[in-house]
Amino acid sequence: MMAKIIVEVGKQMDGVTFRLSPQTRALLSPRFRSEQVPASIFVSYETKSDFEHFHGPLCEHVVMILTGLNEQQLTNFGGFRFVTPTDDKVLFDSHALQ
Amino acid sequence: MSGKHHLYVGRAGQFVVMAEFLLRGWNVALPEVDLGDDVFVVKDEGGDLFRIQVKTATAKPYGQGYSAQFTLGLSQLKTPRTPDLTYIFAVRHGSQWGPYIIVGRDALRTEHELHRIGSESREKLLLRFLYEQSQVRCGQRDFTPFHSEWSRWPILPR
Repeated sequence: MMAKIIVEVGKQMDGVTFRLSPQTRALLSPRFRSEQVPASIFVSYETKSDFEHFHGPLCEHVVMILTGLNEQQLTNFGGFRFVTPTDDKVLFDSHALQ
Repeated sequence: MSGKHHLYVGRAGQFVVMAEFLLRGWNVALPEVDLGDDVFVVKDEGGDLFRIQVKTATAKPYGQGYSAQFTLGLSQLKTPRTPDLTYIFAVRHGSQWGPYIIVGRDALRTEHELHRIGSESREKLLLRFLYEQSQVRCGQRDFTPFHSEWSRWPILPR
């Protein structure tokens, strides 16, 4: 099983910025030559709250957008983890759902 | 030279970078409470906003050229934000300003974490740039692509 995908989280006054860690981007870089994926995603707190109210956790959707991977491919990678990059605190781990 | 000299040099660098943006047709602003070296850059039409952090140093002789050392906070370097941060490294060489090294936060962090530029010390990252002829290096990495990299802020039509 491959290394877990790491999404880094930057919280600010009006929302959250999500971005792949440099190591994860390097790992996925061969895919990015053919896939168009955004470098980061910003979600306002309001949008996050509304989305999660109707659709459940936002995390998997965020990681699929940032990586271009589908659910099965994410599983093959060993899942994903959301962390704060300054202290590597784990905010969400996909294995916690299993 | 007074102990406050570095504060004056830092402020000078901040203003010279602001002047460069203004000459390119981009508006600039300083935060009301200036806790660091931030400059806000705004495109008047459309309101596009950019966050710039200016780092300034004085050159020291090195080989055929010169070197300059800069210090930045690791926490800020690691944290993604929207709009994201761009660093501009300004070096005072004698009586002139050297080339601006313009690099996005994420690109700089990638250079540090994947290519081992700089050294960490007490939550700070120390970077030493070497300027020789038209080339710029940081450690073993070629930073010449970041030399005067104004492409995100083209000169706007008057």
